[in-house]
Amino acid sequence: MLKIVRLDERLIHGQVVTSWVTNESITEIMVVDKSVCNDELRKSLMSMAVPEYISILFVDVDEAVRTYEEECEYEDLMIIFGNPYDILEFINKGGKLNRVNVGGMSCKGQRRQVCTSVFADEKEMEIFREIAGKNVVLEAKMLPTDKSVDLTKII
Amino acid sequence: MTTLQFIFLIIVTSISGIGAASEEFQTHHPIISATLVGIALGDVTTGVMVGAAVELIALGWMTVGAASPPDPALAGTVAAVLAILGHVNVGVAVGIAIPVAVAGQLLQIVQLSTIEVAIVHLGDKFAREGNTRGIGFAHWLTAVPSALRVALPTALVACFASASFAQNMFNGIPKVITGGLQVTAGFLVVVGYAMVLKQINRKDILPFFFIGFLIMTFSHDMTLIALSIVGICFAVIYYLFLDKSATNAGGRKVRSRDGAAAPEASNPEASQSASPAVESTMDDGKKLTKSDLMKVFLRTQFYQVSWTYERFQNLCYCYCMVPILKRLYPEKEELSTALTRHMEYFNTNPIMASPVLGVNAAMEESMVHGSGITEEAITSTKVALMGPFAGIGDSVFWGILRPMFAAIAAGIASQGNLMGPIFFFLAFNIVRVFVRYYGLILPYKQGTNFISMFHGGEQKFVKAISVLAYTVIGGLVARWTTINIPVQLYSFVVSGKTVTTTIQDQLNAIMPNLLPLALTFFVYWLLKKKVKPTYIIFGLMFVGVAGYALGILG
Repeated sequence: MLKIVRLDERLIHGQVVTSWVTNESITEIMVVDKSVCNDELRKSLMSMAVPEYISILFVDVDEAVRTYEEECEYEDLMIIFGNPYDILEFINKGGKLNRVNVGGMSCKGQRRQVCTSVFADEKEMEIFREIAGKNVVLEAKMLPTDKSVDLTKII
Repeated sequence: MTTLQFIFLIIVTSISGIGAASEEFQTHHPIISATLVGIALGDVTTGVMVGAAVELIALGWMTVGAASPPDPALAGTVAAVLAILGHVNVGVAVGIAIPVAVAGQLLQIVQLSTIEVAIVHLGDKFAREGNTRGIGFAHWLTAVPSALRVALPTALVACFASASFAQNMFNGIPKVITGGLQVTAGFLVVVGYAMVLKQINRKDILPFFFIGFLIMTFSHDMTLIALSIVGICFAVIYYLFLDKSATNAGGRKVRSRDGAAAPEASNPEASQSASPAVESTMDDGKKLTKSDLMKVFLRTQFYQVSWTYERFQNLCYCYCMVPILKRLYPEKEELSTALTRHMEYFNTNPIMASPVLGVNAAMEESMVHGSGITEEAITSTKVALMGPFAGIGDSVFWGILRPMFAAIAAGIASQGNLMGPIFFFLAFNIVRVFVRYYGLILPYKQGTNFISMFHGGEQKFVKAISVLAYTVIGGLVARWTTINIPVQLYSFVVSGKTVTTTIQDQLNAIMPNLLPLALTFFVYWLLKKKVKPTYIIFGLMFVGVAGYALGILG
């Protein structure tokens, strides 16, 4: 079952490992990020951080679209994207999403603050609007116990 | 409260406030913050007892990433002040302090996203000017609002609680409420236990929880330290013989499918970053010395003080890198570029920032000596390390070690024994300093190769210390949770004496401590059902007061 789809620039980190995984009883994490796929160091680091009963998949967007439904049949899946562009591409290529949990996008370059944990530049805001236009709810929420902010309304 | 005591109070609460921001020495945890208040106000025993009570409730409160829990520092200081100056019982003190801590959380968010951000922007300016003193100034300046955030509210409560009208008000609280909250304090602690159980979340090692519970229930001479030693034995046995999950990530499926053909070396940064520090033979004065690294080590002692909601640990990181950068970039121009580069967004578990600094120092050094490492490679290595290290650090330090040490300490301190807070302070800080030191030096010497030292055994280690934590928490549920149902069932006369039997007696005949155990798992189940911990705390308070009023609980 597809439990949660998250957008988080840091991909796998403390909030994911200590809260979301236990809260949603996740058995498999799919990290969708092309550069990580080819980076042995980042892959081994991320596998270190995740409890051993959870399996990890490192895929690019095409592979994610092709395989996520099959994975969902066997596992309680969490999909993590590193940037909004990949999410839009995922949807455009046929991936079906209802809700995206926006965990964190850092403050750098021309980005402006959208809400506490989310910073985005104009182009990314455009992407957010486009994703929202496809009937996907974007909710900003760092931890399961946090109050969620409906990004669809802000953008 | 004398003027001198008031000044002392401001000082110790400031220490707790800075502790809350830096999360380094753990002076913000209730068992320490309340004890310090007790010392300042001349009533150590009450301070320690209150600290222990609040600590057990706050066991599972932790900051992960940018998300913050109710403020533990304020919970401890306010509860201690109310108990010592306001002469209320522990239950009432806790009952008032928890809502204050929730308000303190909001105050902290405001502080970290406004005042502190402005100070970090000042740091940006100093970085552009290559002014390292200025960076230090900005880093330390952020400690002031953090100190005041705890000191001022506590001082206000202290002035209020020592005023005669407040004393009258406290005396005017109906017996039903004070007695009820006192009863509640006996079992409110299960929220802390349940949060830690949910956080560790390993069903397969649950038997150790029950063993700990049974040992403490049926052996009345057993101390918590002795139980911890039993727990350590269990952990070692588990690690060596029982853990069936294979190491070397062999037991786990890690699949990489990127659709493209062979994974070419499309990310040269990664392979570069994997190379250890290049030993420079050139004696151009740009070689890092042991004392440079020691300076970094000392700076990391207050690493997270300048955390903000904007770029998180950017100033913290930059401040710690200053000794390295000053050595490698003697020219002002170069220095300011390097400082600005390290003012970029960064966030990880504060203690795990040390290995990142170590790797970074090595890479920075070899870049200066022309090894071909680029600035982008350094930045991308920082990014690669910070997320996973946050995951490991948050689960090990905040999720297992701190709650476990705090739980043992609170058990020792529950009757006002000062050894409790001292144990907590020493135990956590010895581990912390060890990781801070070797976590900086080894990665410096080996670059990212130090990661292979773990042989994929780190999750096995995490599981072993979880065994220890489960054993200890099982023991705490048995020994330091009090629920009593004094409802009389029947009474009869035996040889002139009236013997009454209560519901509690009947339950004890089945198994002592059955109710604490059941309540712990009930709260655990509620948490699993995504009920917020603060709601559970207030719900239990209500149940406690109502139960006491009806005579069911006592």
